[in-house]
Amino acid sequence: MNDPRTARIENYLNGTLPPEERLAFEAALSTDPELDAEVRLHRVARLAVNMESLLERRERLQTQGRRLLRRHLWWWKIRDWAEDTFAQHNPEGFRHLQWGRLTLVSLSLLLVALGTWWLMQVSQKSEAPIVLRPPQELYQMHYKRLEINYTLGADEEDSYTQARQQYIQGHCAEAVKLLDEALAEPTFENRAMALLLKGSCLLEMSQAADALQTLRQVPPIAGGVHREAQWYIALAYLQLGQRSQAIEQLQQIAAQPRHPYSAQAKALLGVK
Amino acid sequence: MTGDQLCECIRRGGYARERAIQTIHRRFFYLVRTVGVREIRLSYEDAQMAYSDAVTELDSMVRGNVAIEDIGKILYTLVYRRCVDIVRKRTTKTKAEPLDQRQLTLDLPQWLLDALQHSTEAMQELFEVEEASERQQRQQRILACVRMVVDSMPSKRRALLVDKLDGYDYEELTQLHGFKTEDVAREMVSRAMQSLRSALKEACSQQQPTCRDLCAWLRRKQL
Repeated sequence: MNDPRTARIENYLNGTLPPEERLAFEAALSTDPELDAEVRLHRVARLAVNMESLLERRERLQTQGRRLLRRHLWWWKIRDWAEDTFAQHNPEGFRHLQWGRLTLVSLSLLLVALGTWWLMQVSQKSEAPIVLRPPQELYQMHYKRLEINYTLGADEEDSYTQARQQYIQGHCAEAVKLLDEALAEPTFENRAMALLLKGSCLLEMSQAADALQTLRQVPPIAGGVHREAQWYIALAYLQLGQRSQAIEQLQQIAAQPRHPYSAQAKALLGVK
Repeated sequence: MTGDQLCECIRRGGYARERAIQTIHRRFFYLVRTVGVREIRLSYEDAQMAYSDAVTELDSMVRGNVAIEDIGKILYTLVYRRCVDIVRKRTTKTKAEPLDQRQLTLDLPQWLLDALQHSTEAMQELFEVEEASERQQRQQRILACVRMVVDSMPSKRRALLVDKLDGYDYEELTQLHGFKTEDVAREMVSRAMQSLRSALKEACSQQQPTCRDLCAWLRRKQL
């Protein structure tokens, strides 16, 4: 612990000595050079700690400042740029917005945005097979005959059943004749499927216009058969070389996630 | 927290002061840009340094019981002055110390010397010299000696003394420095202070050239 002399000096420097003691201490200071030197030493020691404290605080705040600056810098630089570009300072310190520049930059940004969007659209389209390749070639690549099975137990004298068998065997001309017969019967029940088979056959016989007319008659209520017909309609357009109608049809197919030809339509359109 | 409350916390010292300074530093950090960069046209790095110096100075003013009416206004003025100091330092050629004297001085900014002089009232006598240009160099020489002595102390002791001066009470010092009891903390502070005084005496007895002015004042010789 401090000796009494040191404690007294500390109390004097802290201003905690009672008034009488303080007066006595100051009187001793003027007569005792040793005490005076010791008080001075205490003062210098206090100065040393004070300086150390100030320098340390300064260092600490500067470190913290550097960290804060890193966080704010990017935003402040954007603001500086915006102020330097769009605001005009006059000697009185007022700022005026430079509306001309502001409009010009806004329009430029708008143009850049529109240009980017347009480029994206163009590049997306230009990558699509339906744009790059001839429609007839695409038709050749994608046309496939419908996969149908023999109907067990069906009446073999029935023209529809015979038409199916002809279709399976690849005799489209015969199949179309038989299907026309079946469709001519007012009580015929498999009208949707028969229309689909006929459309498919006409496509195979390179009669795309007739195929289109036939396939369009497949009613939406036919569900899966109607969806198949949609795909063959797109193929008919391709065969006819009507690219824009084909695209429209394919877009309708691609928009239906559960459509059996959705993936193929998207692939043709170049859409992910 | 209002400005008055922040000042009160700084005067209280310890953790409260630490928190108050952090709050002030963050709250007015925008001055780096508005004053330092946009008004005085300094770089962001320089403006940040000027701002941190201004906060250090504000802390020292509050601790020295200077009346503060509006922290924001005072800080604006201080930041402005520190920024101007940086511009001046760049544009004016200061009188250089002779090469052989350079290691005997510290390159501390004037505001820091003033802050020190005001925080330790008796030091006005130590720094007092009639000629103004000589006064600054004398201050720098004395502080270089003091710094040398402080730097020679073990860092733990140094930190303990600084924390005590920063207003941490013995209970907080016990926690901060891991002492067993408050009495141990008290004893350690006393010993650290004693060792600092001994180191100052030692520097004088070794007749260190850096400490010429300081030791002369300690021995009360006519300068």
